[in-house]
Amino acid sequence: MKDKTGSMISSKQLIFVIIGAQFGLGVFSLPRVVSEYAGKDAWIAVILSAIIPIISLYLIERLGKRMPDQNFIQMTTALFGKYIGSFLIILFIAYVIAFESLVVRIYAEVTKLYLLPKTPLTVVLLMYIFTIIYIGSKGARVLGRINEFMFYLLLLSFMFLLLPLGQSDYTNLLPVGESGLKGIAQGAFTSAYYFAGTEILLVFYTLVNKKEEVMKAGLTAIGIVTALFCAMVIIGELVFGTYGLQKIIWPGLVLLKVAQIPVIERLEFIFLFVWLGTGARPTINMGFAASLSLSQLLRIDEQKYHIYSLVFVGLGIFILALLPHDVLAAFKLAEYAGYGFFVMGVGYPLLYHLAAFWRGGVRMYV
Amino acid sequence: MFRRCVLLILLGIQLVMLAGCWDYRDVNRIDFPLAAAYDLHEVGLRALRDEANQEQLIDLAVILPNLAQNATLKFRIEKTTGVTVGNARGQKPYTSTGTYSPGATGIIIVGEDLAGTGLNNIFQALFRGALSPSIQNFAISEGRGDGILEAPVEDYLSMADYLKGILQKSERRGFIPATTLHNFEVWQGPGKNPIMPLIKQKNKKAEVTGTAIFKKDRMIGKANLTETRSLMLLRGIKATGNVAFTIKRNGIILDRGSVDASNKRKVKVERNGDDINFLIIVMLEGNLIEHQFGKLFTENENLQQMIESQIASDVKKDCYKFISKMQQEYRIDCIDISKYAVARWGKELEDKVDQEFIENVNIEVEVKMKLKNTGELT
Repeated sequence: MKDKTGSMISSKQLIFVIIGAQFGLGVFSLPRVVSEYAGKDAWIAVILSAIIPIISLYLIERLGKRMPDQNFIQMTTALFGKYIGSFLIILFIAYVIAFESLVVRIYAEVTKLYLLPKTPLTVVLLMYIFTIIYIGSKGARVLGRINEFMFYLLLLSFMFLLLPLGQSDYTNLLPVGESGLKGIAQGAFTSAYYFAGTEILLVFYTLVNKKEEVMKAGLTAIGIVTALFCAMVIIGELVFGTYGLQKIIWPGLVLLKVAQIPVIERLEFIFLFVWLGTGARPTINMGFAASLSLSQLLRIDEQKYHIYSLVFVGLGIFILALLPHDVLAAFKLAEYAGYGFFVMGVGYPLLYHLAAFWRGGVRMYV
Repeated sequence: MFRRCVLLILLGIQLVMLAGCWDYRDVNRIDFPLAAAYDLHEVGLRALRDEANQEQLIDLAVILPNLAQNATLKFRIEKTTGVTVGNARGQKPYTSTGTYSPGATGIIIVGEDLAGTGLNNIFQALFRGALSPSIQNFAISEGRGDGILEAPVEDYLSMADYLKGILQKSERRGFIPATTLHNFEVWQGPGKNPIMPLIKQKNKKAEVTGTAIFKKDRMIGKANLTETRSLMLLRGIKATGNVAFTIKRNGIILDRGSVDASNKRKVKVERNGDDINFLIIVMLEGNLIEHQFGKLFTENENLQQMIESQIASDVKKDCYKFISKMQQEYRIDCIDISKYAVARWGKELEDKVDQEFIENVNIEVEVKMKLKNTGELT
């Protein structure tokens, strides 16, 4: 197969790319957001919410299996024609730019709040955007390796979150099931937004060298992310309780302010230094996917001119990231953007399956 | 080549924008407060706002180290006044040269008058500040907090160092609660109430005198040192401290001494209709430090058991006394047991648990004492 913007990635690297796309800074606010609806049962809601990305994964994988040699752009044009197809691709790119602009904005806000209070927002944003462009310019293989490296860093840094467990109170999780089906379902629905990033497979499917392992890799990634999300929510509940969680914007970070360990007085700063890289992965991965789609849509030489698509996507993310007034406005917009995941992660693959059925009939499903 | 040039330019811009340009601070120009005290405003202290006298004001006193090499004093105490904590901090630039860095404060003393008015609204700045740690230790002072900071200290660099030694991880050295900002916040959940160590300036020295009892964020009572021990045992705050015992038979003292004991607790809750019954099992485990009447353990096989029973019985009696005071005087759950009922019966109790709940429940206490060792002597 033709070398595509930095070569192919292995199915193992796909695991890290999907984890990287899903697991960002959002995890720090997850305990508050989910417990607002599901209360003490927030952890159950998180587990249930994994159904949505699994459905998304299944639909995309089946789609890829049916048209294995076609990338996202070729597939879309083949199924919907030039005009509607181009519209759908542009919509996908716009979604990624809009969604990731919010991710970057929230990311910059956290950096400003805890680490660089006097550095202008534009500067913090630009630093991230340059990093995204630079890593993206190195191609899919490097992206896969960086994701793998950062995943191990993430696991290591996640260990820090076990330190506040000395302050935990198990009664904060009891009684189980108190929020009722409605509360848990609402919590699960909200939590599903946090799995946004599964849709990256629409672009990355053709970049994986062993297609038969995509499903397994995807399930592994979603399983790991669910476990980490769940752990974060449980630790948050144990330490702060549902009542305390509602008062804190980023309980995941405040958790580190609670831990008392000798020598290191301010654990949250060390943690954040690690997360400066780890938390940027969703934007790096999704930004790469959007720029690759743009290059393929415009049919430009991916080897030579991919950097221009990256700069375009990066600039789009930068400009949109400046729009929200403050972090609360960004959170509100992120909530709406969360619906975008349902559209792109589940709606798009479904639409493509319907189009394929319409065009190719049952034969295409064999 | 062109691509490399673009990347080089991007990296160059990034280099120029390095964070230090904006967030650089000269460490010599930063004021690191080691300890702070908050009190209700005392007339006569400087208030900068003209309308200030018409509002409830807060006095802030902080211990700041003098970093200059030729400074004669190692630290100084600065006082400002404001409408709130943040506002009081905000007055510092008028009287002080350094940049104030509140995140460095390790100890916070609150005057009891201020604590009685409720602390959540006043302490917004502490909860909200991202750079403030949640592990600052709190204590309530009997009398004004700034008086504690001003008390003379000879063996320590400043009162802040002394207070740090006495308040941080205090439960490892005695039955003294250590309360951090985080504890104060999470102990205000349904059925929960905070406690804080109480300190007082006594004989020109600051010392722990008991515990301040809070109803959510408002101080409502005090417990003396004996009551504090019972409170900690009943509340299940793991601590290590000295417990004395006197064994009497028919009015005659047979033996007396003390043990260093650590504690654990278990809580069981049952319900019969509207009646809720708690059983608190306090488990003490420790080492014998001394017993005055030189009877040998090898000569009296029951001696160890007698000491254990005596301590268990004394502690149990004190615990019941404290429970009675809690139910009749404080009328709030300061021993943190309501949460077990909430954990079991959920929302049905959650809304009621802070209103006339603890007064109407039945609380039984069981104390178990185990001497792990009796030292080197037989």
